[in-house]
Amino acid sequence: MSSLVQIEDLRLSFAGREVLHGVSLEVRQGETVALVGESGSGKSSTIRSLLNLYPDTATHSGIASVDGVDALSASAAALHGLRSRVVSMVHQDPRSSLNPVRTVGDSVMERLVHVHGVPVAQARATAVELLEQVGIRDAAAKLRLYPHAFSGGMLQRVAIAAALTVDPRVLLADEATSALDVTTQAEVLSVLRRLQRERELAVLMVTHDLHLAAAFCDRVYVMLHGTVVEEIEGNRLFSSAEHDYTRHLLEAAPHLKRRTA
Amino acid sequence: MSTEVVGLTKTFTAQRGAAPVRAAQGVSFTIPRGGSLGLVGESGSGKSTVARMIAGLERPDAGSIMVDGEDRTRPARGGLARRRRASQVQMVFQDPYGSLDRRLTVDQALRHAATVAGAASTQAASSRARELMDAVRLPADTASKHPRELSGGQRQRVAIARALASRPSLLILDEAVSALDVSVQAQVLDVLHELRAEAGVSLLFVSHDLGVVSRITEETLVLYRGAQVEHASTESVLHDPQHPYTRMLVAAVPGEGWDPDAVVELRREFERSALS
Repeated sequence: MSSLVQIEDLRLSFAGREVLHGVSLEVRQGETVALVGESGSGKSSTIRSLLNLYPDTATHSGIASVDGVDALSASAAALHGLRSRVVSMVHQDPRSSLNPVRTVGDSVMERLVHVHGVPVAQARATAVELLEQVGIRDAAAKLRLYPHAFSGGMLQRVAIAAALTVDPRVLLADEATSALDVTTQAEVLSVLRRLQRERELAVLMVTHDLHLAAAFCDRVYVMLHGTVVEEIEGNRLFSSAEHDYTRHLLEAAPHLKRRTA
Repeated sequence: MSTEVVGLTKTFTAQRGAAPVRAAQGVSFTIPRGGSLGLVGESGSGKSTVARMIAGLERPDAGSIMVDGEDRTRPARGGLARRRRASQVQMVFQDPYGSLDRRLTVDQALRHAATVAGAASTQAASSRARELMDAVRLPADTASKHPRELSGGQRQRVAIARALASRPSLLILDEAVSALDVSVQAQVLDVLHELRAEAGVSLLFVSHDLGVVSRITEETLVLYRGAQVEHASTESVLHDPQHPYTRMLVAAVPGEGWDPDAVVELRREFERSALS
């Protein structure tokens, strides 16, 4: 069976400078995959291909397909279909990804109401249900609040709920939990894992945290200067990574030896 | 020369009628010369407020802060005393791009800092600037560059070098390596290690990242809502945490055996114990 997400030989240039030199990766249904590497290695540029979030000035080649639709060559209508129901994305900073002058209810319901034409009352019921699933208590009342009334962790849960309203098949997470406390991160990921299992979501996450990638993800792609240098199962990352660069990153990652209880 | 903090307390009242925020409730610790203390806790636990009070950016409601035998909670007498106080404690923030003047080159920024710190002549300031660059291992060719031309790690090293210009006894690092890539982070931590050994600088290391804290500190203090819930050697805080809150914090750090559901469970346990 072919993969739900397939990126093949993706090349991307800005103003004549190539930043991705032929990246290939895949994500199967229900799978969690991490893209790790340092700043500037091309992680975010890679996952943005799946929604074709590139500026017009960028030139690219290769394939970035979701469920057989290549986002890079799709017609406007097909791309709209991908963006509105198949693929959702959660960004690092919910304070800049959620509109500060609109209620969180508006943000969460937006795609349902304005893109899918769901009646407001029904959309509200879905929003309340999702917000409760991501651990926001008293969700019906919270819908009327504005982003400033939430802490970063709570707001990121709102962003995740907003991403899941249309029941997407693929969730892209670009450092979605990096700005959160480790405790909040664990809570948010615990929710995400549960929802993912219920919905068989494919998750592709960008993270700089190798320990997180190893502990949370089925597979890990390691990127360096716009290429994938290694692909490995998450649970083998620390024991069996082979590429020099991966080993170098692993050695640099601050390690916390945990006493096994 | 050491840093001694006793009973540091601070409450913020945002609005009339709003619940006051207790950012510090009797925080006490000592950092010996060349020693290093980690201050950890979740967002809102009061870490930064404690750091800012010690740096003199926030006035405590109660408590004393002794650095080099001088109580920093009392008003300084005269400009000279104020200047000495400012030079004793220096702070490095998370975002060097925000804390450096983008119009100044590295050399200009460091010469300026050296002059403020009392360099007698332009030559003295220049040679001090070069010394500072060496101390943080900034390559010589970065001297003529502006912050925008530097990498994140280099910028943060400039911020550290600038903080060192006044030969402080205590350097406060507030999430100073949190935004750096791991390999760059490791280099900056190495620089800090050397500074402790060679210049005898004490470090107050504020971070939410226990992995980083374990690399650079001997002792760790855990804050929860302004209260000191645990203070012990970093080794024992991380490997044998006593307080349920610390246990949750440690369990939340991604690594071998990490299980997000277990963290959620520990949070419930902790909240039950906090209520009872």
